[in-house]
Amino acid sequence: MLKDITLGQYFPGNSVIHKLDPRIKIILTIFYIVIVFSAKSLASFGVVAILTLALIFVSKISFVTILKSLKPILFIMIFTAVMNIFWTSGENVLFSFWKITVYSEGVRFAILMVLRLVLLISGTFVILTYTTSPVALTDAIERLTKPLSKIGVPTHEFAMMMSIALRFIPTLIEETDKIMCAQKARGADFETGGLIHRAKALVPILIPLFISSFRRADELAAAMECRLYHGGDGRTRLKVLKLEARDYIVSLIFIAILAAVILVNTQFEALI
Amino acid sequence: MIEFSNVSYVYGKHTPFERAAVNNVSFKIEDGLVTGIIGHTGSGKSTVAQLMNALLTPTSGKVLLDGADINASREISYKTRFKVGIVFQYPEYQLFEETVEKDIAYGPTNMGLDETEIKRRVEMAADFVGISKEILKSSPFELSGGQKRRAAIAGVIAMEPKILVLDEPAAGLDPRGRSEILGRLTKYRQGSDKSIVIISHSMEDVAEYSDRILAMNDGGILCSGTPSEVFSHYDELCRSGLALPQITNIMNLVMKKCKERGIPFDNSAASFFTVDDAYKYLAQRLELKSEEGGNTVC
Repeated sequence: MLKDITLGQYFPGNSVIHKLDPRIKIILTIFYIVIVFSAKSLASFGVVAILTLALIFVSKISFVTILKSLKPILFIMIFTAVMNIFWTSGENVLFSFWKITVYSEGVRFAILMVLRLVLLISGTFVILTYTTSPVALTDAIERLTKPLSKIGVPTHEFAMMMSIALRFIPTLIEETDKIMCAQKARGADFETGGLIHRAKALVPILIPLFISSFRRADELAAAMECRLYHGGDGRTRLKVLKLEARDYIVSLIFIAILAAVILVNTQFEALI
Repeated sequence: MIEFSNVSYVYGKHTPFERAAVNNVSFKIEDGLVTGIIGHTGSGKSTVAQLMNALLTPTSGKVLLDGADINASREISYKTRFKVGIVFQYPEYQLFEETVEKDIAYGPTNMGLDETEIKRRVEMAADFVGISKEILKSSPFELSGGQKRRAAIAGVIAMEPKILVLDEPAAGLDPRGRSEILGRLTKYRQGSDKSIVIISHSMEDVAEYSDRILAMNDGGILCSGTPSEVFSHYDELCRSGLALPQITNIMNLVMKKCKERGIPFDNSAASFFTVDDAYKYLAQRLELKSEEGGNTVC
C-alpha cells in the first residue's frame, strides 16, 4: 500500500535529536556527509558506523524503519557493489574465472562503497528527515537562506511554497489511497497486465487527484487571503528559533568525530 | 451473506503509527435486509466496509461471503468486488470520465460485460438514482454536488452487486437530498435477495431505514440487533459517544413525565425511532383521551 512509503517521513518523538535546533540539524547533516566521505579505511568507517548507530539509538527510531528506508536504494547498492567487484583492478588476485578476475582491492572497495551508501542514507535520515518536522525544516531553510533575500531572492516565498508542498504530501498520499480504493471497488486493476495497460489504469486515479489538488489549492489560497497573509516583510514568527546548550554539545561531538575519522584514516590505514 | 469471524485489522504494523482499527470482530450481514452500522468517528466503521470486499486483508480472522473466504486468492478477492459494491464517503471525488454515462459504465466494463448489457445497466442505474438522459451526456464536473453524488452511486449500482455497502451516503447533502437518496437506495433490495449496508453516524438515518443495526465502539461491537433492541441499550450508546435518535429521546422524556403523573404509557420509548411512529402513537393516544373526555396532554 502507498501508506508504507517511509522515504522522507517524519516520526514524532521526544529525543535529544528531535529537540535539536533545525538549523543546526541542516548544518550537521552537511557535516555528516563530509564525515562519511572523508572516511577512507574500514577502521574509520567503523567510527562513522558507531556515530550512526548512536544517533539511531538516541533518536529511538526502530531499525525496521531504517531498513525500510534503505529498500529503495537496494538496487543502487547492488549495482555499485557489482561494478566495484568486477571492474576494479589491483595487485592481489582473489580468484579468476574465465575472463573475469576479481581482486581483493575490488572486494574491499565494494564493501566500503556499500557501507558509505548505507551510512549516508540512514544517518541523514535519522538526523534530518525522520526527526525533523517539515515545518521546522522549512523554518530553518528560510532562516539559513535569509542572506539571499538581500540580493532580491524571495526566500520567504520559496520557504512558504516548500512548506505547503511538504504539508500536502501526506494529504495527497491519503487522497490517492482513497481514490485507488474507490476505483478498485469498481473493478480497477493496477497490478496485472503490461506497461501500457497499467499506465492506462492510472487515468482513473490521476484525473480525480488533479481535480482535487486544484480545488485544495483554491481553498487554501482563499483561507490564507482571509487571514490577511502578506508574505515575508514584517512577518513575525510563532516559534523563534534559539540555540541551546545541547545544540553546541552535539556540534562539538560531530567535530570531534570528524577529527577522529581523519586521524584514524592516517594512523591505521596500514592495519586494514 | 457476509460473515466476519474474529476479524482484526491493524493499520501501519511495525511503525510508530501502529493502530488497531478493528479488534476481533464477529458478525453476520443477512441477505435481503438493510443493515445499519453506527459508531463514533474512528470506531472502525469504514475499515469494516473495506474488509467486506477484500480491499483490505484482515490481519487475523476471516471474512466469508456465502461461506467462502474472500481473501483466499487474488482472483477471488477481485471477483468479490463485483459482488460486494462499496460506495465510499464523498464518492463524487472518484468521477473521472468525460461523460457521466462513461463514468457509470466504468465498473460494468471492468466486469467484462458486452456492450448491450453495459448500456442496459447504465440506463438502469441512472434511472434508479434519478439521473436524466441529458445529464448522462454531460461532463461529471459540471454537475451540482447532489447530482455528482448520484452519478457516483450509480457507478457502483451499475455493477448490480449482491450486497451494496454505502459509507455515509448522505454526508454533506441537504435534508431533501438526504431523504431522497436514502429512500431510493433502500429500494435497491426490493423484490430481490440483495442486501444493503449503510454506514453512518447519523442515528436518524440509520434508525429510519435499517432492519438491523450494528453499533461499533473502538474497533469492537457494542451491540447489534433490530433498531429497538439496539436503542434499548441507551446508556452504553451514550457512553460511546453516540446518541439516540432525537425522537426517541423526546419519547423517553414524555414517557418519564407520564409515569410521574401516573398516566399509562404502554409502549417502550425505545420502539419510537422515526417521527412517523411517534406521531401515530401520540395521535392515537390523544384521540383516546378526547373520547374519554380527559384533558391531560399525553
